[in-house]
Amino acid sequence: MHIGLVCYFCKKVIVRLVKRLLLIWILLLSAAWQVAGQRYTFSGKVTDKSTGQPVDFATVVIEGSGQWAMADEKGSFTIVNVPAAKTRVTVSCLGYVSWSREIQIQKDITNFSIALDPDNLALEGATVTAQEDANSATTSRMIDKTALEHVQMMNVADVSSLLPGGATVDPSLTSEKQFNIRAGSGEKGFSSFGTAVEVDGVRLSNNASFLTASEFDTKPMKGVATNNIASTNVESVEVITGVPSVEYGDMGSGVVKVNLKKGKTPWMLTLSTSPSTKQTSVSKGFGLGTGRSGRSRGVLNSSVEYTQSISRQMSPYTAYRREQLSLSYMNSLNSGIFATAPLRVSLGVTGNLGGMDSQADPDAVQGTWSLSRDNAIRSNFSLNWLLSKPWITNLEFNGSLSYSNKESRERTYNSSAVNKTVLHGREYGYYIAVPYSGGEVPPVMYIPGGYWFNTMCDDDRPMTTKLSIKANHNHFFGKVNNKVKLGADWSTDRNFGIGDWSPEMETAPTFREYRYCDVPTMHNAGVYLEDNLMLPVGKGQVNLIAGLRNDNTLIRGSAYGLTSSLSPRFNAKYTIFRRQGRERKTLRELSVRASWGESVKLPSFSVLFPMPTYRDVRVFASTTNSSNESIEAFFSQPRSIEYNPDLQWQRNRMMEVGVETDILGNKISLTAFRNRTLHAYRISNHYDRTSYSYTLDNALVGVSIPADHRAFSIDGATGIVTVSDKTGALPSQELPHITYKELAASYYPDNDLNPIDRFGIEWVVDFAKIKAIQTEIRLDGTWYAYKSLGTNQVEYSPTTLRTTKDKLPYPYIGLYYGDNAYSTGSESRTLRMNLTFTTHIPSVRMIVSAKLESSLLKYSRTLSEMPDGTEIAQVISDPSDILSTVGGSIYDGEHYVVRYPEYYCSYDDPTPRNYLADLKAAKASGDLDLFNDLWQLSYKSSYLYVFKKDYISPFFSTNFSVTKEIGDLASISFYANNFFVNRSQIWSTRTETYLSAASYIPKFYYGLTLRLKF
Amino acid sequence: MKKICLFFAMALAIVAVSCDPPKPKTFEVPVQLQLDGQPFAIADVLVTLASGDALFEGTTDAAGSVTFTVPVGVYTATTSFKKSEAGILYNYNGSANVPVTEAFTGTVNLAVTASKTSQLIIKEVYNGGCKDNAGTKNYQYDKYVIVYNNSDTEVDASGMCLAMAQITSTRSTNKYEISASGVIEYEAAGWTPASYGIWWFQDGVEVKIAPFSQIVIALNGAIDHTPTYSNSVDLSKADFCTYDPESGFANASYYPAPSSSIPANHYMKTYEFGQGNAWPLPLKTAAPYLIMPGSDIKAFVKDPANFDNRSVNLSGNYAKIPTEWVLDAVDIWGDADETKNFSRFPSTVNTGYVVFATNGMGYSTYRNVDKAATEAIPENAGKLVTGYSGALDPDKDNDPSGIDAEASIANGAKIVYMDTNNSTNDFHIRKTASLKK
Repeated sequence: MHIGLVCYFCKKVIVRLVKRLLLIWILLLSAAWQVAGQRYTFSGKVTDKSTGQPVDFATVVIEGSGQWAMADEKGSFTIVNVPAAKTRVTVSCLGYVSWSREIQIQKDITNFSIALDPDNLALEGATVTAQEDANSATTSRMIDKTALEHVQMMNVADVSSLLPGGATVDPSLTSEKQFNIRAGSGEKGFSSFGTAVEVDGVRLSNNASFLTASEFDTKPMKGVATNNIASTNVESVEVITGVPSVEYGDMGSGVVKVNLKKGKTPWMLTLSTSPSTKQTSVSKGFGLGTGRSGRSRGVLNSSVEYTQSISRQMSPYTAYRREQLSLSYMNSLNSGIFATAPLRVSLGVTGNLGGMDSQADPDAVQGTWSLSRDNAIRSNFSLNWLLSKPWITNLEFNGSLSYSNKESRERTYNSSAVNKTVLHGREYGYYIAVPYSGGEVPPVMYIPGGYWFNTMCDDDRPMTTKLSIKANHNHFFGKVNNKVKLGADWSTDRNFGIGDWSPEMETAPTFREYRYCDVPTMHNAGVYLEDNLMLPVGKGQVNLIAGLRNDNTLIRGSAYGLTSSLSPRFNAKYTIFRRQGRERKTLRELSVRASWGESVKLPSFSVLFPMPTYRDVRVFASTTNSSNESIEAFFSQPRSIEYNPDLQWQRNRMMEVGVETDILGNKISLTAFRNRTLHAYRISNHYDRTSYSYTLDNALVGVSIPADHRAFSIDGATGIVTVSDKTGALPSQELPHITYKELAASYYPDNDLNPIDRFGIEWVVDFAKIKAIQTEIRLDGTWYAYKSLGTNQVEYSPTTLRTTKDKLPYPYIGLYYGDNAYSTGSESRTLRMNLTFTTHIPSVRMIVSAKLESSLLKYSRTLSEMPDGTEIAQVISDPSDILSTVGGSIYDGEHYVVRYPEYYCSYDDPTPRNYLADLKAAKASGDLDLFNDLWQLSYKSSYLYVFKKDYISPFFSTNFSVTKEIGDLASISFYANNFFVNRSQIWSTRTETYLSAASYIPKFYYGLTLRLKF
Repeated sequence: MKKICLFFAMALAIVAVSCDPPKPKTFEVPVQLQLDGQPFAIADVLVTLASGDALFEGTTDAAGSVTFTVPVGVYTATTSFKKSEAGILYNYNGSANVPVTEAFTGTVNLAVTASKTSQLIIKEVYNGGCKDNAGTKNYQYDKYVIVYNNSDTEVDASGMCLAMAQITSTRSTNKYEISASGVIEYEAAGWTPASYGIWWFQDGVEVKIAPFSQIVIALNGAIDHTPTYSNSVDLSKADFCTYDPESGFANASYYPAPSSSIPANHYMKTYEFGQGNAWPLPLKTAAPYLIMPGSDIKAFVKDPANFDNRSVNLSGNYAKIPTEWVLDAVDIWGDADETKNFSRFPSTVNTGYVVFATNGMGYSTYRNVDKAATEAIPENAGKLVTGYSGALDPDKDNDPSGIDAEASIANGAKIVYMDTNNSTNDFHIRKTASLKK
């Protein structure tokens, strides 16, 4: 049968199947809506197991129905209108271990007692590793306070080392760190930019950041740096690496949720020290008591942290500082109109002052310094209204604001023997340099020779706001639990900064004003619908989640206008065996899951509104007179970023399958994933044909006016330079000029045509505890692969070059498939494995852990090929002759290689021509001038191992950590990274050289933290 | 009386004979200079014909011939002269026995042989820059090279070019194989690498350097740097040569518009084949050299066949300069570690190295004085200044001659510098650049 016909029928069958499934789904939903069973009250009391005292502000959640209550000052809680069901009830409170149990609710339950264990090391079960969320249908891991304190986290991004196969990094704050989920460094697709980070619901975003078009490749967009999140105020970090809920928009892969401390606590003092970082913090959760009516006034958490980190111990004055004050308020209104429909209110505000500052550094040139602010205000509110109606369970209304001041200032010491020309103009035309005499800044001006200081500032103040509303409807349909989530959110990104500026314009270097605040606000309105169905199947349970998100991005005043995108996501989990009742069996737990989904990452302003570039050509320069002044003239062309009507928002297609099991107490989690980035953002360019007048240096040879009497002017439209006599003795003279034709690059935002693929396998094996030595062993790891191949057509012209024959501006443009380089992509594979021994001795309240981190495979290779494997670069036999191509694969052995553009065109003839044919013809005809000019468009490797596989030999590092609690009053933690001071060398198969392992593993480092509670 | 008359007559006869003795028979001996078996047409060459105490001198005519008139005897014809050809000074020496007998006829062929010497040498390299007035930052845009005519004969340097070898002397970044004995790969191939570009004088501009005179080439910053940087030098002098602002190297810091006082015909041209926007003579490890091309340098540098492509594209390659074109070279290393560094020149061009350890201090690499040759110049009597103490480290690395070259030149002396093609012997580090005095 014809293949096309087969495909046609397959398609039809699939469409029919999908339609039926949707129909079944809708029927189930409508049935669930129609059935409204008996409702009950669930009430009780939460107490401290050790003291018997009530625990106020404990949150009691009925998982199945989504209903909740907050315990009052007596520890009492009441949830009304609870549907009959067997469901899991979870109780959590700051300072206590969460309590969770499955409860059958088929009548009113009152006086239900819940005793919470204080969260300390006296308890069994304390963990210092990332724990998988067993209830999630996708990969999600939680790192709790005990683990965070044990590793003495300074930057929340450092918790990545606790994920499977994670690698420890130097715990310094002096360099920016970001989360980068399921991706490696140096890869295409801006994976860290696509990792969503939220702190107590406040989305941190880099959408309102700016780069120049030329920086786009050299300084790719990154995710938000997490340096300014006070680590001592973090209660837990949840990392969703799989396919998250459609609730989360504007993301690529992965969501990181940082949860700050909320709830009553004693005074807590933290003192931390390491060779380069000192930290002090004080925090307390205040219970605000009750009002006259007896209603709780809520709880107020406050935290103050001061952290200072230096990069060089020899010069400790250049430091990153973090001074943070955080306040959060939480209360539950459950009287009056909220008697049966309580409203939980959360408010939070965090202010941070700090950043990198070298002003106090005596090692710098006196008077020079740099300052990069990292000030931030983050605030949020959350209203959760538990309506418990048949048609709606609860309504959430959230709002957040994140405003940062990332202004950087740098004071430099400058000098020049001659006057120095600088450019500030933003208009097209010819300009001659004039001295600055105050007032309006001339387009081209010069700074007199000599010495000067200058302060340059980049005022960068991005702000992200978000408002969201979400309605939840949780319902039991018999044993089937269905949760519907319908929500909408509206977020904005804008920047209030004014970009580059200088308070000393008379000495400011070349820069062009580009006011970030003039860039329109990017609005994004998202709506989503998600259904989460949990139905028992045999002794197990099936969890199906289907969601669809629609994002509508509106940028008023921009050609992009309104852009709409859809993100469907599906998760399915089949719990075949649940632990309950199988504690003595060999196979105690087994579940499998699969997820598929798409996410859309909104563009940053670096994509939509990159800072304009300018093509500035020095078209005249006088000789230097006796006052050491040379007058220069420039031809300036603004190269503003062009609108691309075909620009698409970058998408990420995620897929994963996983299995979790418990065999004889050994818990195994295995996940395979594949992430495909589609339409990755990029900045492309094309070339415009321009021309300008140019005055050669020898134009002054015939001028009779003495050099010191010359004054110059230029016609702004024609570029004709006139020299006149300052003394008036000699007549003015127009200088001869010539016309240069030149190519000038124009930039526009674009998308990669070819997807970027990432796939891998993650595993975690928690071996059964060896009770004799109270030790747990975890073996976790990841195998990860990445491949990217460029397939865009790329234009490139080395416009700074001159022609061989006449030294005229270079007139040729190369047209390249993939990239204007001999490589068009790369691939890599890594295999990392960590072995963690954790000995927890509750009787002495101590945990000791040793973690062996290993890189067993680290492979990378540069590629030059099309997606079908056709090689693009070619092997040459003679490194001196780019035409000496010989057969053979570039990947076999060691070769010099050459990459030709497929086509080229010229200033005068835009018709693409066969590059190689013309290059050969130029050589054959002896036209060396043309041959040399065309040669400039080729790329030749300068070494033999360009495409050789690079396997880095295995390397290892061992970290030790110990945490000891001294009663309830104090705890002390100590860690030593790379404890054995591994300084070995590792072998690279590509270069066949030994490299220092120091580039791959953290240096020997240690730290100590003391925590006091009172 | 008759006897008295006879006596007087005889006396007169004796006197007469005594005053005008009979002339011996002489012969004309034509001497023709010969080079490589062919007549050597060169005028004004002094040829001597000596026999015992008899010395006859003559100068050649345009055909390279001189004719002596000598009596019978056995003579030795000799000549020794210098001639500059294409910037290269050749020493010509010839000697021949000339027996003149009664039967002498014909022409004596005096064969001369040529030995190459370099009139043009690099006298000084100032590449390390100096400190700014505050003493906090280095200033490095004031580099220069001094080319010197190390002979008593005027030299035509119109065709001379300035090049530099690899910018680093460290083995780790070297792209060429070095044998166990230290011979670099391209020595056997007969070429010397030139990186980034080669500078030459403009067409039609005659560049002649008088004996024992020099030209200063301002490699960047052809201006007076001293108003801003008092530790620097004045490179704005009218007789200096410098870069053409239209050269293609466009780094504004390196190449400000040259001083108005430097005529445009002193601008040197180049063909930029480097990847950078400047001709980056290193601050420490400089290896400049002078060449006198055997063919049109402009065509040479455009021919891809003359490049060794060890870099990414044409822009990063080395021009393969035939080693026989090289006039003089200096190899400057940042340190004396011979296991880490390598000699960048073929051994026929230069051996040895001079160590320039610290840049930014106003130091320069300066050539030692050839003491014997300098003192042998009669006009130098009383003009030579001794007790030189300008070396950076007088105890370890002084000019062995002890002659203060610059002070002596100021005194009117003619200095002959060492030229053994061994940078270790020929150079020392001078505390203050000569232009700074």
